[in-house]
Amino acid sequence: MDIETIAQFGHDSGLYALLHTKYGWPIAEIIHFMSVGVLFASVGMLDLRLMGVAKALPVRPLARLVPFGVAAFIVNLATGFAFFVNAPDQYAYNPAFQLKMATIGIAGLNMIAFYALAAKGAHATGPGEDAPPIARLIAGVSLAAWLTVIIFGRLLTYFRPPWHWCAWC
Amino acid sequence: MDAIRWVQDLPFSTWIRESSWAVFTFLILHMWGLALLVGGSALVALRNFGFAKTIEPALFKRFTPVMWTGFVLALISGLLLLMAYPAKHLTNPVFAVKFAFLIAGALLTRRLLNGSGSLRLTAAAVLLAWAGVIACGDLLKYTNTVLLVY
Repeated sequence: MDIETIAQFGHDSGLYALLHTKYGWPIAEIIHFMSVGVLFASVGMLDLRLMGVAKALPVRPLARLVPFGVAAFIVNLATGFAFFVNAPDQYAYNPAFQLKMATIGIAGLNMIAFYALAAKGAHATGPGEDAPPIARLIAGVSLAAWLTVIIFGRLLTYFRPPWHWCAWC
Repeated sequence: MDAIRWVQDLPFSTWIRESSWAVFTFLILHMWGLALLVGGSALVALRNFGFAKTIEPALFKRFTPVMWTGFVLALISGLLLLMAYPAKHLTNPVFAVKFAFLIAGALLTRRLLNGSGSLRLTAAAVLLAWAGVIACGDLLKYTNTVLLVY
């Protein structure tokens, strides 16, 4: 699929027109940022607990809040998709956007690793107990990944094509 | 207005505006602050909606340092951005509304942490307050009318 086709879809779907109404763009941004807050409320705070912050809390009930983070991520994906199809060349050729997507990919693989290797031991961590080392490691990677996603999310509005500034541009 | 001009013309304020990295770095720190402060507070609100209810509400006070860290990050980065563009923000009523929401969010979060049982209405008000802070913060980019410097 080439950029033109995606841009055409942006127009045909009405997403371009929607974002270019008076408050369309800010409202989409506001929803995007609120979802960041919800993602950190569930996944971010769970990561911190597994890393040893607020150890008085048992892990299992906190881990049940992960669906809120998944829901927030889907909202972020939806608003992000609207931004992307609105001006696909500004994103696809933007190294900050490419790195943001790569970091989200790492966060996704890391999440799979958590459920495959660490969830059982992590969930059994009671009040005052340390999570198993593998769970602490994966939680650290998760938190670092999401904080990095924020970095690249900010950078992509500052360093835009056609200003080429990366090794692979 | 004289005070605003004095602040914006400080060498440090000028440096923030002209630096190749200062503004976006402060914006990143501002968003990290949002993530930790709103993240921690929204978690407390979720508990008061009845989720993770096997955990005593008072235990969530252990996340207070996380929220403070987020608050301080957002405050310092926000003040630095304000120094760079004081007129842009201080002449915008949206900025005052943002702070009203911020104070409400902070006080209501404290009430949740010190309360007992499920304070659903307070929890809903907390989420509304953070939504207001985020909405006003974003709208600052679009609603400013006075811009003395670029």
